[in-house]
Amino acid sequence: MSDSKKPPMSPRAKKYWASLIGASILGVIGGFLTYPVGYELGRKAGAGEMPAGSWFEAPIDSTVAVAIAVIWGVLLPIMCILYHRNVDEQEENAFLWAGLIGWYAMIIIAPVWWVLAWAGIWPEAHIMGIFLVGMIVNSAVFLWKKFH
Amino acid sequence: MKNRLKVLRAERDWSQAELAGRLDVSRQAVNAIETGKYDPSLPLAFKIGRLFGQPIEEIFDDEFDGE
Repeated sequence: MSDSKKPPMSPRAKKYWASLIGASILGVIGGFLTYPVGYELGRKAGAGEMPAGSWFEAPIDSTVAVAIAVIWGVLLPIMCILYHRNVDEQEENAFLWAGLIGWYAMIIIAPVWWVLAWAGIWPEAHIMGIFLVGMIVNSAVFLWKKFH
Repeated sequence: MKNRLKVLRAERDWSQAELAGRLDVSRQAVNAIETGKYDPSLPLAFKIGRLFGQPIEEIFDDEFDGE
């Protein structure tokens, strides 16, 4: 006989979703603080204009920068701990593979970029560019392992 | 690893989401196990066995031929 009633969300699942929603809210707040708030405050304070084609080198207000650092360096890790304590094992497996491949992407790209820049073949290595590549690779592997 | 999870689920007319709720995992986890893309941990395999009232080896087939 069929029992089609779906069980209510478990405490684990509730904490899992809380961690995801919390991290997302932090991301939105961080992004909003980065731009336009931080940039606009920095620009108005005379920190200069955003260089053409170089978003990462835009001026930013120092107080806002500290707030962003606290969000990324303190609050986000708390959300990550909550996430990893409550994520189910298949997603954790996807996350571990994504972390591994993302790490390899960074440790391969960083020295290659650095040595080619040292030789003057490529532009100077950009830390946020390498971070971005790592994040993209990490996200792609995670989504593949989680949903494919 | 091959398994009978989809058959056992169908016999009870459960959706993947319903089974996921009973096992306290995501629907994607159930789908990945059913399609053989993810092998569950031993604790989860035992949980699956208890839920369906069958031993693990009746649900999962490691294709061990005894040699």
